[in-house]
Amino acid sequence: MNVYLRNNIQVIGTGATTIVFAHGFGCDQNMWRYLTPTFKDRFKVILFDLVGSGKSDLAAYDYKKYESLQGYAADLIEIINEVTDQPIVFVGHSVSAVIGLLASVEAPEKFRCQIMIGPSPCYINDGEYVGGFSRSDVEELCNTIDNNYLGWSSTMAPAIMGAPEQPELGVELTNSFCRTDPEIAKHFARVTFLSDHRDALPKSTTPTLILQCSDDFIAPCTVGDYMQKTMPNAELCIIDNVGHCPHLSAPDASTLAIESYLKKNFY
Amino acid sequence: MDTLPDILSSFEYAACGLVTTEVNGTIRRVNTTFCKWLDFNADELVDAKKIQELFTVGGRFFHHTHWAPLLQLQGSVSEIQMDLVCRNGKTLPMLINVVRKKHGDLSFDQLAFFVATDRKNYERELLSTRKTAQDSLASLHEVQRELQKNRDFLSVAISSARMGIWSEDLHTHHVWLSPELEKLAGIGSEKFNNTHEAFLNLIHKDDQALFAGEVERAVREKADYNVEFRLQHAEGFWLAMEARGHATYSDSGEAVSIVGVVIDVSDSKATEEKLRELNQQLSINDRRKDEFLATLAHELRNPLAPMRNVLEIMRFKESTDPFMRWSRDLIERHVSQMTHLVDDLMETSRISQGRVELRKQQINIADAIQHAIETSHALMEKSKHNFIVNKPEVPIIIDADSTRIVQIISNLLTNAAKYTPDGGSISLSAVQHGDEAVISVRDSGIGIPREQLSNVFNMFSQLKPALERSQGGLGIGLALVRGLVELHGGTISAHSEGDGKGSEFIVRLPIAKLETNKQFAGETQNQNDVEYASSIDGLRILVVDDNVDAAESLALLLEIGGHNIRIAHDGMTGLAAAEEFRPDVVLLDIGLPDINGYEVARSIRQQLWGKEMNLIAATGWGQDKDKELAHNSGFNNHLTKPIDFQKLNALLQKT
Repeated sequence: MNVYLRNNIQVIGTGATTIVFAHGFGCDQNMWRYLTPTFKDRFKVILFDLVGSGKSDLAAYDYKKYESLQGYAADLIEIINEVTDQPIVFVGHSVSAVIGLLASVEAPEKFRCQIMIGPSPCYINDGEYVGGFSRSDVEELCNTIDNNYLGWSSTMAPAIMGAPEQPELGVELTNSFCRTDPEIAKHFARVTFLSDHRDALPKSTTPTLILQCSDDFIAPCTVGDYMQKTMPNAELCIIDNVGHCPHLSAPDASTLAIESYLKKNFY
Repeated sequence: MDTLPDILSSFEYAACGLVTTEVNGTIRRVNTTFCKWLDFNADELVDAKKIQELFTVGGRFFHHTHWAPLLQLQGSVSEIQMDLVCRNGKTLPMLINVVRKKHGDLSFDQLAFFVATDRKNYERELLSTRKTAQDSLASLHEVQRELQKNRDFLSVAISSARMGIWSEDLHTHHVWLSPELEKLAGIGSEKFNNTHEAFLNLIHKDDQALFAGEVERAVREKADYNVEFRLQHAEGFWLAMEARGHATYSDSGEAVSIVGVVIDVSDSKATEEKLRELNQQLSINDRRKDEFLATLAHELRNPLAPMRNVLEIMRFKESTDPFMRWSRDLIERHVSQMTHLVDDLMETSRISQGRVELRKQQINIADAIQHAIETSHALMEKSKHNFIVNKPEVPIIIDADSTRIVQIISNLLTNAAKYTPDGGSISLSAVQHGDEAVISVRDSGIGIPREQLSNVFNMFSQLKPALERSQGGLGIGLALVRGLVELHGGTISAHSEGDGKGSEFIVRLPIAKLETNKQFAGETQNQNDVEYASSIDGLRILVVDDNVDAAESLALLLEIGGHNIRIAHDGMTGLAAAEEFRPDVVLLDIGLPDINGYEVARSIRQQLWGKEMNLIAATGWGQDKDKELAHNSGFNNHLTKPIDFQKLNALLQKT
């Protein structure tokens, strides 16, 4: 199985160090379009799609394998092996941050450091732990996703309204953005939002930067705090941003936070 | 005056909800329609809430994971289906379009909302239907899998039984053969035409009419068909097949199709044929054996006759030499024993060949018992057996050959005596049970092992070879007894507790149906009396026999009886002797070396001097055919060889 094809890997730029960007739940590697230009001159930038998302090989979506995020962690290690034999800088958003966490526990030697954007090791409240949601909330999410995927299945063309004015939109943005097989999306949502990987936090010795949004419904501040306290080698940085995707809605602040971390610790 | 409603009006009362928000979601403007739908006042929303706060939890998730990133990157999102939460907490399904546009330095989001209740319901229906269809499909697949599994199973069963299935659609005349049938007949489906004609052509042309006819009949009569035929294998050879099946009918009773099973019976037919051959062979062998035994018995008799004759002569020539007397007695005992053995063998083989004639009369069992006791008495006394007889109080009458009944009972008594050690006890009883006479002989002897009980009546079965040697016997006594009992329409059974525990033999015979109060037949002729021809005058007797010893010993015996004897050893000499000697009686052996006895007799009868001669034929087998031949050739009487002296004497007396 060709890993490049399976995960729609893009290699951009050159550099001594490889930086791997992993998108979060819902979309694909296009999320990183604001950050990529900044890093490609100094790093070898690797962009990929999680299996089941974007333009990954949907046929490779094995429901059994991806029943747990460990399935994706194994894929990530394979991708790293494909693109470099040096330890990488990993940037993971949302669920991919946890995927990176699991991979760093499994193969710590492959990670220079990891940058987590809007991560959460567990979404569901548990005793003193405030993940932010109840189980029924997660069920509701799955239903909502299901409803919308009915309208957004890849066979139907969207009506994008008012888009041409936006200069940021490149032509490579296709109609398949954020569209995927409804069944896979539903499954992925369940796996993501029902997962609990708090026990992996203390096991990851990889130097970690947690980018926490100031007003993030999905990964609230309580989670960021918890993570920083539980991980042996983690820094917490709060970005002023309403929402869950600072790399989209506050790209400069995000880039700045990442670069100062890297400079401080590695260069 | 402009009669069009103004822009503001059009905005406020638009057919959809219109909302403007900041990029972070803060609501900056709402129209009346939106407020009405969600039951909010404008001031509760504008600058007071973020649009996300009107979403359900699931909606908020979605806003973060899909809505916001898309809007950021594409600048618009359309047809978002989401539930909004009204003032009173109830959810309202809505369809949303969003566009992000720059206005000066800032960007604003313009949202349009449509109530989508109907659409949601419709979609729900659709989803539900799809689910049902999927479930049905899954179910169907499951059933198909089951079916295929069963089919596979059945296929294995059918194949191993060398069976196949076929069917014909009576409308299209399309014939379907099951894979097993194709395999049996060695045809691949490409080769087979699947038409009625093609199927029929597989059948042997001599069987085609029968096959078609039987099937047709079954269809007409709404019955099953069952027909044998030959089917041609693709490689050319023929298979013996059996076809069974029936037609299926529509509701109106019209025949719709024929279904059937065909079974390859070649193997079983081959086996049947083999079995038949084996049976035939066995039959032939059995017959040959019977014939052999009969011949053997007969041949064994021949030497016995002259020996007995000589013994008789020796008796006459009384010797004072005790050694001579002892020798003679010894030889006689053994000749006698041999005679009995041979007679038994002869009888048994004649019974098995169906050549025994019974001379039935109504006899009293008590008389038969009496005679039997007399015969076996000596043996029982010698072994000091304790013998008890239970004679019936009332006469028990059976329709039977008296001689044979005596033979049966005395055989059983003799057996009892032979197989009971000295000092043991033997009992004999006869009673009437319903319409049967039940005779029982019980002894306290060596008994019969359980597994042998049914075997004892078979010829040549004997239980203890060692013992048998001392007692003598071929083991045919019981076979003979059973044969005789069954000839009388009765049954015999053996009973024993086992080794050393004695035995009991029970004979059941049907009681005679009495017609009137007849007097019963008297006692049988005692065959042990030897009658000598001493009361008659000497006759001139010519003995013609190519067996020199037999002829001479018989001649000697007759001479002692006072007759005048001449001997000849072949037909021509005999004829000459007859002419010259002019005997009263000619004893003519049929099997002569030159011309047979029938010829001699005819020649004698042609002569004047031969017309009144008493011609007695001596034939080998005593069959009716022989008797008839003898009679036709002019013989007055007929005796079976070897000549029994007593019988001969009886005939001579009549001369």
